[in-house]
Amino acid sequence: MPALRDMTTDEQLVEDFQRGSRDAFAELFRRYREKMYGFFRRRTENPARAEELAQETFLAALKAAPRFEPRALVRTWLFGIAMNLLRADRRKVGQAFQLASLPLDKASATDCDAASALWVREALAQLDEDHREVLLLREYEQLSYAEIAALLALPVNTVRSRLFRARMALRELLAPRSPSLGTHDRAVM
Amino acid sequence: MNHTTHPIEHEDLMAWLDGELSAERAEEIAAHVKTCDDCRGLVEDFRRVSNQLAAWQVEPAPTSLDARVSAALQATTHKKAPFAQAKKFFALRPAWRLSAVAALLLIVAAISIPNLLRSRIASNEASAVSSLRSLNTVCQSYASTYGEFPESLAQLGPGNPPSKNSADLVDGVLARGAKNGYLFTYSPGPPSASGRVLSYTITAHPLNAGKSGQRSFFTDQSGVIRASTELLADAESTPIGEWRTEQLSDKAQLAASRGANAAGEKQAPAQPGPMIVRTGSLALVTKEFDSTRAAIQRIVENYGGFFGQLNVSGEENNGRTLTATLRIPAERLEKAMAELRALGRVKDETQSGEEVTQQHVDLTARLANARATEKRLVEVLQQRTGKVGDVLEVEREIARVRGESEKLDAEQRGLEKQVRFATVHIRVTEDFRAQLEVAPPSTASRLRNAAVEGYKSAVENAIGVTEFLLGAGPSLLLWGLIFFWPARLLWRHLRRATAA
Repeated sequence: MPALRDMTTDEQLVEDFQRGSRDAFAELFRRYREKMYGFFRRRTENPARAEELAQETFLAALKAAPRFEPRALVRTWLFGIAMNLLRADRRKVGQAFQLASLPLDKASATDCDAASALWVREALAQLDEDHREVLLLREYEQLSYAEIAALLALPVNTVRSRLFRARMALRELLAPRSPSLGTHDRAVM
Repeated sequence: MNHTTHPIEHEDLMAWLDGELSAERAEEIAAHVKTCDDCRGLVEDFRRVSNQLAAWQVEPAPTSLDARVSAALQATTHKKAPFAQAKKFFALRPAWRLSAVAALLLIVAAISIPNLLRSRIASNEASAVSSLRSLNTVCQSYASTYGEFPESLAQLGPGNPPSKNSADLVDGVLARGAKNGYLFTYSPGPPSASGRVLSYTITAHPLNAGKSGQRSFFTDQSGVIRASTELLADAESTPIGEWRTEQLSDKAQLAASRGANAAGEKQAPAQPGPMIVRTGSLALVTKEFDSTRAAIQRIVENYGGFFGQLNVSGEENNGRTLTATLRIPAERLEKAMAELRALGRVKDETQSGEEVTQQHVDLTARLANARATEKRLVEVLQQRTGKVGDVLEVEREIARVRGESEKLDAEQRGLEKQVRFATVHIRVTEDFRAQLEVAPPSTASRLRNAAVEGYKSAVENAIGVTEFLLGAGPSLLLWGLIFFWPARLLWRHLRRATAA
């Protein structure tokens, strides 16, 4: 059964759920739980808020699933919901975009991991907000240019040029020689 | 950097790395990168940046997320279940659905058809009564124009110009003798010595007894409409209401148009001797209140009188009081008073008489005068010479005089009645003896009474609720069905709006 499940597309899962299969949605959740949590975790200040927003995303998806039509990819659809919730949350809190504070106290993160992660985070914080969002969606959510364009309601060319500029900027910000942290040997790999 | 002269755009290089280019273009770039150090350096840099970014990993999602989402998932499917079942029920068993709808229709029909039938019978009956009323009026107008009642209903039918055989007073349907499920039969009375029809009877009976109507009706020149549930109503049947007085005045008109002699026979039998309105009052104290009351009733009946009004009041531990107004035929007043006096201890008694002879004579004279005037006016009108304005003037005058004579007539009648029936005000007070053994009802009987009351009210409630359901249920169901889908749509829309 799990093997069969793995071969099923996201779209097929939603269709199964529409036919009344609870398991299908559970599988969809299993596939996206880390992605969704990561999405919010990198974009909000605190883990509890991230969890809450991820949960809301799945609940909204659960409610909207019966009306899902396979014109779009489930992935884009889910990230669309997540993006809307994120925007609503930011509007509510009234805060500008802030990168998540890194959980330095996490036992799983080694010192060297934590240090380079902090370096990355600081570099990202220096990017222009529009450029940064495109970059995050490409690098962490692994979305295609077209998906990003649909999500942010931008032309594909704009996505491409912003991504390029963000990467060029990061090339300088994360240049191997600049930091004093001495952990870039890993980053170069 | 020499971007501008380079054959490959750096942005394309990035797109190539991201796998966003077509296969041809990707091959082109791959070939170029092999030869161009500048580009290879940039590709290296892009890869390095991506790797560096990968260092920012987030902790795994907390397990509490699973619990909350799966709880919501369970809740959603649970909520859906009954609906899906209902859908399945109706989808899978058309026979069930059919029989449910049939049962519903049957219930609605069972409730509404008898009501419909009853209401049709009621409306037919009402229509028959009103037809009889208008026939009475019409017969009187016919008589005032042609000097006698019609010989058949057909003579009242449409005609232009109106004539004795088609007076144009009723519509063709009624003139043919059938309307709204009732058949009307008109029979003229035997002709008088002068060959005129001076009386008539009309009966109305249902064409289809029990379906188009329940009762049959009867009326005659007196204007009283009588009803009977027997096959045919006749002059002995019960009158349906107070119609008589109004019609009597119509009859007076007829009499006036025919001449004063006819009226003289019918109206106002001459009162011999002085006319005296007698009143008496009597206050009694009695020990046997109930038997006294019965005795009063008996006396009134024996003397051919009636109760004007009767009132009994009293409290638990006090004597009861009866006050009544009796109307006793004047000539038997003395005897009746004597019997009433014997019913108990007399506390107070008065008798008085007021002579109204002069008043009556006066009324009679004025009435005769008014009728004579009316008669003359009718004669003037019947000759129909003169301008339209004059004719209208005369008609207005007739109406006024007629109204006046009706009023005088009623006054005279009332006066005569007062003279014929003396008024006795009687007041009976119970001689109260306090009862020593006022035994309160036992606990057992009180409990029993309470139980009976409770049962009664429970039954009443149940009947009330059932009545309401049967009476309002079908329409509630209908409106429910009409509003269910829009309301559900709205509700979903609102919930979606709040969720988003």
